[in-house]
Amino acid sequence: MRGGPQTVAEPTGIRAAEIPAPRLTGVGLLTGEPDRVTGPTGLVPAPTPAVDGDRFRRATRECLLAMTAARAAVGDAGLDARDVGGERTGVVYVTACAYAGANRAFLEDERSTTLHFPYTSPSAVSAEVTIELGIRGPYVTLAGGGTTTLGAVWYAAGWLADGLADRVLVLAVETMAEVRDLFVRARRLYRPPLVEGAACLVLEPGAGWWIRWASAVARASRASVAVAGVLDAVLREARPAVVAPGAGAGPLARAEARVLAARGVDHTCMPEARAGEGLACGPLVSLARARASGAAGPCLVTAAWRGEYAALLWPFS
Amino acid sequence: MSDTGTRKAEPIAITGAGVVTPIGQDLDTFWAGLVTGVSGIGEIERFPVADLRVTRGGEIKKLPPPPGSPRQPPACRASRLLLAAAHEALESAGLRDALPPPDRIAVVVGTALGGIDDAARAVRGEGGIRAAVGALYDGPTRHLARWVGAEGPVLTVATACAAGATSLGVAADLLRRGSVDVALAGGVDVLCRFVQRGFNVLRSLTREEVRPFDRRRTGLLLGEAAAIVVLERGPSALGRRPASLGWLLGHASTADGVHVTAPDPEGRGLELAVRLALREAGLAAADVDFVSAHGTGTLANDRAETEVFRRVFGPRAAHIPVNSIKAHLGHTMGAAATLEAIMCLLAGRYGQVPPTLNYAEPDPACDLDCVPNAARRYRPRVSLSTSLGFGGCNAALVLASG
Repeated sequence: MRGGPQTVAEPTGIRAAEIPAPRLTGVGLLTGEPDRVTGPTGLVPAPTPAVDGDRFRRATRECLLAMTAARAAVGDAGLDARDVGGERTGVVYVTACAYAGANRAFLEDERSTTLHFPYTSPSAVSAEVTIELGIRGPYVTLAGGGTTTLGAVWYAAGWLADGLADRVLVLAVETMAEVRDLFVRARRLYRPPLVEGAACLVLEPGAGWWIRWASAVARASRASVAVAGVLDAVLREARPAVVAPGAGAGPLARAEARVLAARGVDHTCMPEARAGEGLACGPLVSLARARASGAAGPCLVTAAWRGEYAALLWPFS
Repeated sequence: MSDTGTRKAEPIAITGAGVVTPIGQDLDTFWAGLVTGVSGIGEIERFPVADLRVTRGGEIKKLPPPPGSPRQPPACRASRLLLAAAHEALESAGLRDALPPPDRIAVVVGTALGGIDDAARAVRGEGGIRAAVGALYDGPTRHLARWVGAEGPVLTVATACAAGATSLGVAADLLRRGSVDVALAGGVDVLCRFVQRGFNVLRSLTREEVRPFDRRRTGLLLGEAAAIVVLERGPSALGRRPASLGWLLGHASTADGVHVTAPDPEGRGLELAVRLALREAGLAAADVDFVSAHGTGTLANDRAETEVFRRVFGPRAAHIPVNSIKAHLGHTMGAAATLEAIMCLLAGRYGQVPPTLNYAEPDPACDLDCVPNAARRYRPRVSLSTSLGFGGCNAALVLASG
């Protein structure tokens, strides 16, 4: 606490928010290849996809990545644009920094025009997806890393549980090449390599079971307490069949390994799910790869971002 | 438009509020300025604007002192505004010294620009790691969470100029689903060269006065502000019965799917947001007796909103008091919707509706009761607040006064 209000020193209970589990019916992934690491930040660039249509001639790289991932996910779900258009499809978009390149360009180039400024807003990326697919349903854009993405998945599940949508696209995009020098300065935030990419999941209403999500700020002195609190709240008696750890390295990762080991859970059972730091994309990549691996049973996905730790338990049956 | 049915969600108590605006740096001054028609618009002094087409905006001329901290105040202007607003919000909620355990507190902040002044410093190579980290959009939110000591979910909503409404809705959902006992939610944005230049190139800014819903309206002016509310579940999980400023009954955020910057001329996304928010509140359109419009003063926005009000309210649309406070403050972007929600609740408390300033010539395309130029004695019970933002973002809040 830094001069703020008085709070109780010890946590009295992190609680997981529980919600009926959706079905993961479609996946679209575009991630950089880990063997193409470049530069001092260990950046893994994502290839810029070509997207048909005049509208995209001037679109930013993050928009093209988003469009391609969204189209792939919709197709993978056995849907087409006519199915997802209208007010019964929702979009939750998350990014930690996919706007930073556009912001930098606008800051540095005083000759920038009307073509540039709108793309400095994170919501421009999700806007292009909703425009292309004609989506007019529930809609939120969140700024943050993997912990925020786990909250976004939970939030999307809430829309489905409340009957606000028939399907939700959970989308994340990260582009970092344009601001790699800032990542050099902020290297304590992440564990290299940084992996650019886009990930989109299509969620539809499911049946039975629940997903659980919890999140807590885990300051250094209380990292173990917070990590244990989050994992206890999310797992309860469950024993995950698959674990996709996202805490990187450092005190949170060590605390996570200790807690899972104490529960007899092999926390390294799917480490390849997150080769590198994909920021907001990471948890979606994990869920996608857990599905692809044919996971049978609950999947635990964790994330850390700026001192926050979060976990989501997803039932694959 | 499909039938949205009825689904009543648990009302969420709004137990405190705090603001920092160009017309006042506390709730009382803000309210007095609104009802007496004070304008915070003036020549921008904090950054160079001489080369820009429009040089005015709602600038906060003197920052509030950092609340209760002996440490160096944050360099980030957005964070300083947020902390001051949160300080007042916690005081007014009676929670300053009585917060629940840290992991039962969430912080949800909406913003259109995040830590943009840190980004500018970082790009210039100044500010070291602090600027590089603060440059991210979630920088100010995390600063606020640290200051409060909140250790529950920390979320940054980036639905552009609708973010200050969406943040309240997300926070309410965290409370309803039991994630936390208290949420600080709101919005912030600062006036800076980046955004002034951006809207300048878009030609959205007016060289004249901001005239929401007026036939001669020619655009918006920008402003800066922070606004925070304290949200709690009705039967307080803290074992207290807080003096409530009011209630958040319903919320919805939707997409236009039409254009990156311009609103859907038909307002279909906004209409859906309004209907879903009413449905969550368990109310009908006939229950709404006051509307706080986004009302930017641009041709497209005001016309689209009017179309939506006509479809939602039918013939009543011309008779429900509808105001816009953008001519008082400028468009404060991420903070705007939270300020407008607070204004709705204060209108119910004090029995007065603040005016829409600079209104002179009715526009047949915007045939609303705009509460022109002078506050009106009227005590709304149920208010609707609408917001729109870049990226085809729409949001609606349904509020009841305490």
